[in-house]
Amino acid sequence: MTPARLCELPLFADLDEETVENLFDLMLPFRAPAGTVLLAEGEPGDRMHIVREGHLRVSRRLPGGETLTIAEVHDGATLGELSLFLDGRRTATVTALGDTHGWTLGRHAFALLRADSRPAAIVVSRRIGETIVARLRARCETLAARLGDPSESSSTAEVELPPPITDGAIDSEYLASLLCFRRFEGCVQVRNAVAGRVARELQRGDELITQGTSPAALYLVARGAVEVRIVHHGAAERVRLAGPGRFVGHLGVLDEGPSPVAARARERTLLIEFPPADVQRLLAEPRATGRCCATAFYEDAARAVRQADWPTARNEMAKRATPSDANRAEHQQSSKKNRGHAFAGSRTHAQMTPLKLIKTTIGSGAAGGTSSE
Amino acid sequence: MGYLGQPTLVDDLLYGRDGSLIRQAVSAEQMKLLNLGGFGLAAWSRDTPDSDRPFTYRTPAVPTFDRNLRALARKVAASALIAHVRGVLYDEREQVGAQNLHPFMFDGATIALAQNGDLYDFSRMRFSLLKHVRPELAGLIEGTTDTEWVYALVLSMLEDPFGRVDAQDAVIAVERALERLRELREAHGIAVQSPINLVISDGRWLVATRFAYDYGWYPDDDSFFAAEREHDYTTLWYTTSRCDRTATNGWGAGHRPTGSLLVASEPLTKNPAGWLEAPEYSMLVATAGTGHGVTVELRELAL
Repeated sequence: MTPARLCELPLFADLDEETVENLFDLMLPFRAPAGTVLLAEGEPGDRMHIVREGHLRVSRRLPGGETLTIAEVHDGATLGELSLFLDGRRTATVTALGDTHGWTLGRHAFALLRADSRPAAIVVSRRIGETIVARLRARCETLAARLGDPSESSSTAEVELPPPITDGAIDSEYLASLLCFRRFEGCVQVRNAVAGRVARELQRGDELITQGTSPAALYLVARGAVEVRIVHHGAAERVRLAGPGRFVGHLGVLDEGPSPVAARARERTLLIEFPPADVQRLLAEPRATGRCCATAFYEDAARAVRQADWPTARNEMAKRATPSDANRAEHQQSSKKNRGHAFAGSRTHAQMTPLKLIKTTIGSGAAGGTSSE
Repeated sequence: MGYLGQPTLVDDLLYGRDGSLIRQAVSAEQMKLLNLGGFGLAAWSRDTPDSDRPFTYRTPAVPTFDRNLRALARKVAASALIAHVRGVLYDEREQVGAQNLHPFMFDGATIALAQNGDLYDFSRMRFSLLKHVRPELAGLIEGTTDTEWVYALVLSMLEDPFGRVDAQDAVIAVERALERLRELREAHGIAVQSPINLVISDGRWLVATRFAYDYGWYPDDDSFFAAEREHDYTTLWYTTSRCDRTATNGWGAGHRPTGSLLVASEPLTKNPAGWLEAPEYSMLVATAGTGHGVTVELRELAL
């Protein structure tokens, strides 16, 4: 393998020769014959794989021993990139279906790249971050497709946000303790990142982002929690709950296109706004504050991808479980009531509308232990 | 943790995995605090006399070193179980003792309850709660925990606190109790994050909540939640896999379903594959069927 081969990958296309050579030094080649388990769910993850040529299956295990196939991927795909940003264990297994080869980029090598202030390093870091945002959009679109035609539920209704609150609402010492600022160098850098930014306080149930529109900003949740949902015909699927130190509005600010999700305050919430133009400036900024912000944005997008996996897994488990004879009648009756396993959309200001999410029956008459594949 | 389903050796449930509940007393994977405030269990066994009543075991000692518990667990099977390791602040003002051990179950009641949570500033609302708890139940409270009061409040929401109830009645009672607590917190101006993950059972059904009041509003004193922010909404996980005693990985390793549900504050295996995280603001309701099946319902707690 030569550095020139790296340029053939969409992820690294258009990079200059010196950048590619530096990048090549940070990466290791891999080969996986057909049948090889390249990444195993539950094992600690510390590197991203970039497929130059091959065919792989991405799957995860469900309770009861069944396997859920998430995707099949081919040449140019990236795998395991969440582990560059997040600690923790692999959330899926990747198996080579055909002979596969490519490169890996480890977390430590990626950390070197992120610490590099040269423009080329910033471009590469950003492209890797963009793969995570693209994955988040794909997850949301998959969930939306399960609910029905997303165009039917898109709305152009503008959200009316409460007026900005005055200084004093944002205590930089408190902010510095939040998860998203853990890579910042103390309160001063955090203060620089949030200086002059608009803060707003939402009440429980207040809408923040309308599905199908572009968010007005990337919002940092400083206190409280925002619920990110896919709404369809009055029903909704929760994609994520974003508490303190998490962002809302990745899709439509960190990438182009309308937001496939809606967002509303689940608790009384204090937000700090990063307008799209500021976000783009920070992503291109070579100084430490910009690079730390970029890492915080993409790291949180990676966390959002992980959270967005849960609704699919839970629904898939419910779908596959077969009612035992003893409970079949009750299950069928319940299924009629709970079509779509979804949240109700309407609410009052003070109280969120209750409804059933999922009902399933497991038992000796339930689905067997073999994979459906 | 809670279990409902096929009769299973208590040893498998408490010890049989590399992240088992007993290990979690001293080395939990996600929650980094030590849980040194004691251990308790209530377990129902179909083949014992008076099978509607659970057998219970409580010790204020750390269960890791308890030979009696291990010996008992190796001999007894349960079709339903609630078990709890108690975590307390590292503070001499904490009350560690038999009267504060979960799960709570009053004499004559049919329901047991354990909690993974902490109602912030509970002492300020304790006596306001009294008027919502039936006098005959208030008189049975022996300890100092918020959980025992929550237990009494849930029972007070039932038509007959000492009678048999079905899962649906229990769900309504829990929802009403949570709503009442919200009102009382508001009345006292308490607006700090307070998780309240309950596990409740009568041996035939099991209800588990993943809920928090005022999520995202941390206390200013940098206590309790500060070290947990990666998992700052107290977690609840569940699986339906069975334990194959020949497997190294036990629950979650991907064996045949047996019609059983296991819930825990974190997966009982270090490898979490095969476990699902319950969503925030939700309630799992499991009911044992007339056969061997268990019906599991996941509801939103839209309070």
